[in-house]
Parts: sequence; structure tokens; C-alpha cells
Amino acid sequence: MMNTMSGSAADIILVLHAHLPYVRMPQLRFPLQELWLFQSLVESYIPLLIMLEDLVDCDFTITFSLSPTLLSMIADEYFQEKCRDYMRTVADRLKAISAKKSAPFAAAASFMQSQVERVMQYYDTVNGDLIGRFRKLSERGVVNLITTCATHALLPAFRFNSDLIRLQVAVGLQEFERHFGFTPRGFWLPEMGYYSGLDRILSDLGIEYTFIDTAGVYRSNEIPRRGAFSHLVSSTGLFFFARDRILSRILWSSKIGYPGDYRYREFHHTAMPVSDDDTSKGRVEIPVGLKLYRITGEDRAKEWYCPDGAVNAVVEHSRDFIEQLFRRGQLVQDIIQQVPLFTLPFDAELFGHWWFEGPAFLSEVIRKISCSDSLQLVSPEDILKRGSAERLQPSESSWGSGDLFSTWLKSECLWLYPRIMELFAEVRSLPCKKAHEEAIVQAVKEVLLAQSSDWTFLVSMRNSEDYARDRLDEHLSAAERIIQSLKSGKLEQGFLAERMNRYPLFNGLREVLGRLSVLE
Amino acid sequence: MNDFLVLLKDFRNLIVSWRIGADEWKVIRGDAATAEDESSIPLFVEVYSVSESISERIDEIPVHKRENSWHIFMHDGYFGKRIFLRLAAETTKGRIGIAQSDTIEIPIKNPLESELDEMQKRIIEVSGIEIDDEGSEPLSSR
Repeated sequence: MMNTMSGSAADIILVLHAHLPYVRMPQLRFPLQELWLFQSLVESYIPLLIMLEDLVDCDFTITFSLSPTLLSMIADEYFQEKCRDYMRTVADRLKAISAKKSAPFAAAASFMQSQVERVMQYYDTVNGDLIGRFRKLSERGVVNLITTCATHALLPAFRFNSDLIRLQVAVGLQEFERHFGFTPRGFWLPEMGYYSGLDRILSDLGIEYTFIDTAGVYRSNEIPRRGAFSHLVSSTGLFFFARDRILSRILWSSKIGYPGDYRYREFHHTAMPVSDDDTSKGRVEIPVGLKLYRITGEDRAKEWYCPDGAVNAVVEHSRDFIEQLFRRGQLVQDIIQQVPLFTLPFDAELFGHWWFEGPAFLSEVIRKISCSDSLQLVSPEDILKRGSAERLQPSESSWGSGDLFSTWLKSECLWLYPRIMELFAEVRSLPCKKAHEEAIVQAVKEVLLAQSSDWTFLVSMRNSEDYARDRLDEHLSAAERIIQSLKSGKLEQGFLAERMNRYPLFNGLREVLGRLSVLE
Repeated sequence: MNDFLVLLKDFRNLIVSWRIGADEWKVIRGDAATAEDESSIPLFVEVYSVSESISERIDEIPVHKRENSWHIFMHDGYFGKRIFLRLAAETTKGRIGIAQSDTIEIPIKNPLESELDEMQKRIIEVSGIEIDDEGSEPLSSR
């Protein structure tokens, strides 16, 4: 098919959004909630870095959003040390399993062992400094780095408190600058959640562009003439890049997409299951989640992973995806009479963690695009340089089910939003004496941590639901306790120190609060 | 002080939560038109659409209680409109406003029902907007 691809077919913006909620449980060696981080590091973030660094002969840019909570964790020596322990443990277990040469799973275990050892070696070589590696890729123009909200708040849920919105955005900017040393131009909206009026706040804070769902374009009152296939601009000067739903679902959907192919590694079945009750509470030191099956197929017993079969699937799927890009490019070009832009945003964890072969697939796709005359992987900045954009006031939208916000606004979560806004108002009403500044900053931090969309998502999906509820309760109770102690004039120094110690992130929060006049 | 929160949930519902301040509630109770007890004091959520500087009431839902939350079902008259909601009480002095929301823009439900030229129609047809892909969270895959 490649020889038929002459002439420009499409420009592509690939966006990987990396985020995990802040979790710190020093009392346990491998609590489930910290495994979210370690597994994402081993399966996604590090393999993606290795893949991007290997593509030295290719001309491309991908956009990477790294959330402030994730940055805080990967920069922290506490997590780095635990991650090394995790990697060693996994590698040792796989080594022991693969030593049983006659066992049917020995080949799968041996392959997985080599993968983990490669990641370990990389992590040791860079001395755990993954942020430094992202910075280097950014300097090379391979990666375009952007930021997101402080704690991944679904902004439309807090729309009527513009100070909370500004705080989420400003902390996101500041944390990015602290880690990378420059100001990002782009901003990832958690869950692609957009509401009318958000463009004003983002523009006021210096954001130049963001990403919205397909629905934000086609459910607006004035549909642009080039639809979502070009960049768009609002009346405040904020640029939008809208997701292409058709192409992106090929990569993430288990039903019609590549990741559900029977040759790929099975995510949901581990070799050593544990009870749901124990894992949801994070009470036990669980097995490290070795995944050695392949998807296999419906209504069949799971079979062991076969690396060769997965490699073949990657080759087939990457070739097919290039063809899909080309065909869709031509189809849309016939309509809009110009080279279309396809914006393809994904959770970074899809590539490697959920879809184990995802980084290898991306590597193949990037190589093929790099060799193609008709397809280009570009950054939003490249597109902005080209000039004129059509006007759009996007409609309220998210990338969640039904295009709106029901995923995070289920009945069991509705109490949360007024409570958060009430607590924030209470913090703001406190007289800010110098001696109380630390306590007020911590109370605000607790409010921010409760805003994470992860908690309401987990409650909604009934996945680690108890833990999510506990975290909401923990942060709101802590904020209330600090506020009450300030009101009564009996500051609980011990409690405050414990909370600050448990959540040592957002070191610049005091400065942001001052800048936004939250502390007055 | 009154709290009044309005959230757009999906293409069927708005969620409205309110808590009327103690002082305001005392006044409303004193002036209530027909109330036998607190829970039967007649309250209303009024829905207005706004165009330019003109607002028009498009819906009214009887509600009750000083503190409550309510799902407001959206009929076709909501879609594609800029709206705001007002919480009001029926009193012996007439209907009085208690709290008012900022505006929300309700998206268009079916883009193909908008006024479109041929090119826009073709774009929408290839956009994939009609696909409800159950969200993009990888947790929902496989």
C-alpha cells in the first residue's frame, strides 16, 4: 500500500497524557495503589522514553503531558527507591519462573524478564532522573512538553468557582516550570473536560492552546467549515486541537481496536490473583502482578503469552494504521480541500501498561510516518506557525461516556462538589496571619488533593472504590480539622506536621496562593 | 448566605443543589404562601434561556426543602441554548428569587439538525460524532 501514498495526506498530532493520582503509603512495601506508579513506570513511561530515544534517525514530534502529581512522585527519592525494589523483585520472580525450562510459561516469563531487566538498566543508567530525560527529548524537539491541572480536577465540575479553576491551572504551570525550567505553551484539560468560559481563564494565565473532544466542535452552535480537521481559535485567542474520534478509537478500543487482538498480552489476568477485598484496601503486600497470558479469545481458557505472535501483530497493526491514516486523510481532504489535521490524544498508560505492545506499535508507526512523503507527525506549535485558524466557541464536552460529565457526576459523588467549594470558601475567609500561613497552605493542598478526577472515576467504575472513598474522606476531614483548629486558635502542630510529611508535594503552593491573592 | 450549584451532567439531566441560609429561610418561612410545614414551603427552580440581553423562562420545576439536590430533566428546548437557573420561593408577597446561577451553554444534541451547508453535512458524516464510544478511559477497554 505504501507505494500508493503520494502527495500530502495528513498532519498528525499525537498527544500522550501521563497522569496518576498522588499515592504514598510508606507503611507497606508494595501496596496496590503504589503499584499503579511502579507498573506504569516499568511498562509505559520508561519503555516510551527508551523508544523515543532510539528513534534518532526519524523526524517527528509527539506531545507529552505530565501531570504535577506524577512529576512529584517520579522526582521523589522515596518512590525511586521503592521502584528499584519493585523492579528487582519482579525480575527475580520472573527469573525463577523462567528457570523451569519445561514449564509452558517459561518462554513468556523469560521474555518478560528481559524486558524488565532492560528497563532496570535504563533506570540505573539515568540514575532515576526520568524528568531529565524528558527535558533532553524536549530540547531535541522529539517531545513537546505540556502541563495540566494540579491534581487532575474535572474543571467543569468546579466551573462556578473561578478561583479554584485558576488555582488548579496556576499550580500546574508552576510545578511544570519547577521541574523543567521553562513555561509550557500548551495545557491538557483533565478528561478533556471543557465548559464555556474556560478559554478566558486559560488565556489570562498565559496558555496558548489546549485539546478538546470531537464533541466540543460538532455540538457547538457554529460548526467550523473545516470541522475538527484544523486548529481552531476562540474569542480569547486560545487555540484548540480537537480529537479525531474515528482514528483514536482504533488504538484504544478493545472491541474494534488493535489492543484487543488475541495475540497481545492479557492485562486483566495476573498469574497470581489475590482477593479483591485485600487489594482494594491496600492492606496486604500483594504479589507484583505478573502478567504472562495472552488475550487468547472469547470463551476460551487463557493461553500463555507468545512474544513472536505479538511481534507479528504489531507489524500488521502498524501497517494497517498507516493505511487508515492515509485513507482517512484522502477522504477528509476531498471534503475540506486542504490537508487535514488529525489530533490523536491518549492516556500514556495505554501504551505499555494496558496495551503491553503499545510502545513497540508506536515505534513502528513513527518509523513508517517518518519515511512517508504524505504523513507528518507534528506539534501544535508547528501548526500555529502556519497561521490562520477558524473561530470556535467549543461546546461543553469531555472524552467520557456520552460526551459530557456523567462519569464523574454519578449520584454517589454529587455530595463532593459543593463540599469542596464550601471548604475552599472557608479557607479563604480565614484571616491570614503569618504564623498560620503554613496551616492555610496545607488546608488548600488537602482541598486540591480531594479534587482529583481519579477518585470519582474509581467510585463510578467500582474499581478500588473503597480506597477512593477513603482518600476523599481523608482529605476533606484533614482540611476541616485544620480550618477548625485555625478558627478556634488552637493550631494542632503535630497533625499539621504529619499531613505535610505525608503529602510532600507542591512546594511552591504558597507562592501561587499569594500571586492569585488567595492568601490576603 | 445561600449556596446554589448547577452542573451539566449528560444530555438528559442538569443537577441542582442548594442550601438556603438560616436568615433567608427564616424570612421565607414567615412569608410562605401556603406552607403547613417546612417541607411544603413552595420552592421553584426556574430555567431561563438567554439570547443577547433578553432572557426567557423555558421551564419551571416545583421543588422543596431548605437543603436539597435535584435532577432537572432537559427537554428539547434546552439544547443549543445559553441558560441560567434561579431558585425562587412563592410567598404572600409574590415570588421572590433566592439564588441565581451563572450561565451554562447546553450543547446541541444532534448536529445534523442544525442549519448546515453541504460541506458541513459531509464533515459531520465522517466525524464519528454519532459514535458513543463509552468514554476513552483505558480502564473500560478489554
